[in-house]
Amino acid sequence: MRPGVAGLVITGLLTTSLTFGVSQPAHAHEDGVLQPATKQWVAGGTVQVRGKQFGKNADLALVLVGTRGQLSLRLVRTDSAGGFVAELTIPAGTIAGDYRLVAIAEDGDRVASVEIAVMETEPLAQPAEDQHAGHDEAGMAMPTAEPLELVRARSTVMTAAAALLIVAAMLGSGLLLRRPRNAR
Amino acid sequence: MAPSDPPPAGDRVGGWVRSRFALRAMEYPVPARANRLDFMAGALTLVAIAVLAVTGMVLTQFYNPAPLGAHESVRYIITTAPGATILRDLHVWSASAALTLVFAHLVAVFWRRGFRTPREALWWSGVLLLAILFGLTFTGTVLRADQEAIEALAHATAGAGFAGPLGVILTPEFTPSSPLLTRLYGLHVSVLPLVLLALLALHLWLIRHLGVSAPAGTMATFRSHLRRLGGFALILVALLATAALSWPAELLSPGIPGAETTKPFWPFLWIYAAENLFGMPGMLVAPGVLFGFLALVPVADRQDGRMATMTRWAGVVLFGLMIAGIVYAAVAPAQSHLDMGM
Repeated sequence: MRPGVAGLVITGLLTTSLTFGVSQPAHAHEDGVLQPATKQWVAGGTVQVRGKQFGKNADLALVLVGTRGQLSLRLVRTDSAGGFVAELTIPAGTIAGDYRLVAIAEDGDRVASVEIAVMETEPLAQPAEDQHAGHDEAGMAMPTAEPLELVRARSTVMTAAAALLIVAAMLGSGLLLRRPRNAR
Repeated sequence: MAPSDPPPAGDRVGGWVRSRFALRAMEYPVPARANRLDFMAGALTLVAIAVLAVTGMVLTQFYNPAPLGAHESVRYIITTAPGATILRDLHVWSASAALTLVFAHLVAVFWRRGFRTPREALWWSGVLLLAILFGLTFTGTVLRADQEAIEALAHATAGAGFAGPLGVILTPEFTPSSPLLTRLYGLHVSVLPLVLLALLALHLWLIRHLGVSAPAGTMATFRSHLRRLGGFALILVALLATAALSWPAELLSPGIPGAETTKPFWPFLWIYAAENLFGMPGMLVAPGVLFGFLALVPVADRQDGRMATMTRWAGVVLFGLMIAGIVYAAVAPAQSHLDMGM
């Protein structure tokens, strides 16, 4: 193989692998959005879940999926805007662990999912800084681009060590970048 | 000193170290021009990556990759562990530095046509390293599990939908046994660093045996090159530490799915700008155009001529558009791309 041909083949493979996705058709899973009031669920408790951007007046099955299998929670019907609000009851015997709440459409497509955790007891109260996130009239947390106002952990020893590192690095760089005497 | 006197102890120790660690192998010649700062951006990227690796290793001891524990563990790092929070700030600043330096390196090598025969593979390995660095930056952003992270993940999942079978691994459906965030953590701390190391080894091997793309002229030794590199590396570390102390990395509220209120980490702003202009396909087309162009450069610009001139100016336009895109996206108001609302 001539070098030019080899280069073209390699470039073609590289370009194809890098841009493969562009030519692929989209598949229409995960269209909707599920917003549970909290992601820490308690076995035996209830939680409000809000859904949006689903098909209008569509039936959805809400299913809890975990490594041990799946558990149907309830059926919901979306409104004319493609949304719903539903109270879900988590069965008392649900084993604690990480799950996904999945919305399944009538045709069997999984149209939305969200990761949640099931616990045996009530979660600890949210830290005060999270109040920064704000809540809407229904008590759901509102997203924000504002950073949290956290009180940073500071230690004099650590800060002094970092300052020393900076000074030492600058001194060291001066030594290394200094022109050797015989080069002057 | 009389000829029969033994050499000073310092020389003896130095000689022993040079002999036992084969340091004389570093005396090989390199062009003196390679000692200039514009030839060191690549090596300084490696320094930033080394800082990322060391700080990242410490952070793994504090971070919890479970979806519901991730944000809390970052909060813990910031509010409770003073050493870890400085290292996290250093980690974030080093990521910015690595990407800035790698682009400076890319532009410098592109401008001096360091991709021409026989250095095509050197260029391509660099392009792949750039892609891996973007991958590491993306997965690192997602690990915070805050609002920006959740939105970045939603974009990636939507993009994975476009990528068909290639994107399945980035979807929650891939497996119910491990959450997506945990799998991305695996990519961030294990898979991507290993690929990065392998590509770095190839890249350095090729540089050692093909040489840097500087005109021969006056020669220096690699040892003198390392000395200057060490000096610049220490300045870089000092700058990163100063930035980490002065401008700590932020954390947003825990992520709420289904909303778009944030903008991505600055290295992704040019992709965000493409999404603003072209919708979701822009997220895939913009990187596709960039990496497609970079892959084609050694083939298109093989020798002086019209094609070489066109390639050079196409590169100038492309890099200019990237910078313009970053600036535009930084000042433009946040937009919704996934039709999830603001």
